[in-house]
Amino acid sequence: MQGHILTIKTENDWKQLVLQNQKPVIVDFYADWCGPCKVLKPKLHNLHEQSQGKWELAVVNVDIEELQKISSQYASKGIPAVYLFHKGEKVSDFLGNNEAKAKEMATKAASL
Amino acid sequence: MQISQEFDFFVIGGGSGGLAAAKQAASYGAKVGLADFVKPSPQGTKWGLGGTCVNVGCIPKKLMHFAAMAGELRKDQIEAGWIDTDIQGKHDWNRMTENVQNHIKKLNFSYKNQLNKKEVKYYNKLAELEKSNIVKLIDKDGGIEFIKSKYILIAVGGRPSYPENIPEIEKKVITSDDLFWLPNNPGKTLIVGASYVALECGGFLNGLGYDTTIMVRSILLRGFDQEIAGKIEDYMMENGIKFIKEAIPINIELTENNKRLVTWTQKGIQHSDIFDTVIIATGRKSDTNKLNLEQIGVKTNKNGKIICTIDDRTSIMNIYAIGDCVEGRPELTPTAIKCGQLLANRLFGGQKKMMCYQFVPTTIFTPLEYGCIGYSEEEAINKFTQNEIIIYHSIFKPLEWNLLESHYAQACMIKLIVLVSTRRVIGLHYLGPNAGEIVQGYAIAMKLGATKEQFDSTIGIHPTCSEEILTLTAIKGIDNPQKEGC
Repeated sequence: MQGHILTIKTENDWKQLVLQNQKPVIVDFYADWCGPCKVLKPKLHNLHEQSQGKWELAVVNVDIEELQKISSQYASKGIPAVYLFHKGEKVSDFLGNNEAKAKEMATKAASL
Repeated sequence: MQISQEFDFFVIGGGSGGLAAAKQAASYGAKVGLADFVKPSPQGTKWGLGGTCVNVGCIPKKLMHFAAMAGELRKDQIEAGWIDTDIQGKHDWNRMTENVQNHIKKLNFSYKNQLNKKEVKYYNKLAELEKSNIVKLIDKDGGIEFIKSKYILIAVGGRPSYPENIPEIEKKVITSDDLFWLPNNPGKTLIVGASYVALECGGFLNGLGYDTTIMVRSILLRGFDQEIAGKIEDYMMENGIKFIKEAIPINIELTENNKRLVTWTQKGIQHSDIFDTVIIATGRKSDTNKLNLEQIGVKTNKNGKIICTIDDRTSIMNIYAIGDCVEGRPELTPTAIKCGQLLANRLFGGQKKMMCYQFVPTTIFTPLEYGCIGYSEEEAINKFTQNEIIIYHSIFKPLEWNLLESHYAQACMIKLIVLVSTRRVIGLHYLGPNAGEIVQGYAIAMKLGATKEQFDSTIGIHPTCSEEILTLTAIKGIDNPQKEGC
């Protein structure tokens, strides 16, 4: 069963769904033209399904004009860029299609 | 008129020159803005930040040239011993273009990030000069804002131009603006033009397996060494490309099944044929006509190119221009970049260095690549007369070509043009594999004024094609360029 994934489309979405979320949020910055992003996506989805609702998964498409400021803040070193946020604070992050780091982040998120 | 922002430096055009100048200026602490907006081609193609080179020029061209060469290598693979290599295997246009376009989009993204990191304010809006220090910015929905800037840099580059003798030609043909973004393969293609754009595109399309014809009005590669241009043509013909020489198209009609019926005249006789795609590559024009230059007083020549002094200043004191849109500049990415950086250094870094356009190396990525630095044979004779120069030449065969019999033994050539009085090498021409990589290093030697003797006293690397440049003894007009024996 597919867990509910938060699609961030506006700066307001970012504020409400990521920064102000009660639960920990893992945010995936990706683009349609990015090969490694496509490989990482299902891995994150799987981890989310297994999390039993302990954390949320949000996705940000870096090509969305409205999100340019946020994308350039978090995705300027490259994509996929994945961040763990809790109560508005960044807890950890990793860059690239890294399954081991994704698992580590999911475990951390579940413990918060 | 409300001014929404004030800048020290505002750049119009986010291509090779504009981006480099903007980033360099920002590194000195200047408040910089940049506007880039791609007007869709007549066929509707558009692209992101980065300019011609990144989106519809050097980058996709080189990748597709590489793709074509990768295919051509299959025959050599068999002779090198690989089993199951299928030389009949077809090419998947969409797979190649998807990978090329993904890379381009990565670059668009990376440039946006770079501007952001350097705190350059990026406007995806079409710019126009409102006053000599005010720019009008129009977004895709028609929304308008005005910004003020101490200095303005015009770096708008150029776009392909179309012949004027065929009615509604823009609807029936494509250009390099469209080729790299075609949703389907171009099929049987006619390329009209004799520039490096025409030859490079024709070259890789043929290499990818498409029936390719190139129609040329007079000479190939005007401005380049004509002996080498002739050998480029020979090589392309050997590889199956058809040339229609001394011809111009006089009509193009869409057929029932959406093909192109092209009619042309050659030596007074009319011919016609049907093609799937017609590519026009007959030249480029400066993209300055909607900038409102005339009203502001920025002088251009009759082709729309901006007239600048050696320090990139236009006829208006605080307005500068660099790159393809300026009269007399080479239409190359590295020169636009360097020029932009040096301009920023002068305006904001207190430096004085001007751009030097002497001995700029360049390479044409035709199926057999051609790299050159300095004078062509024609330019050298024109400037120095035949008596004051010596031309050393050699026809050689790359070692790797010896595995496969069918490689054309006389295809590759090197020419060095030497001034008699100083023995200085003033022209270097290499026609052969990996031309860009090979010729790059020699540009330093030529800038430093290396002589033929200094070239000869440098030990070559063996076995390479490049070492041939250091072992030239045959003199044009006296000796055969081809070595006898091994």
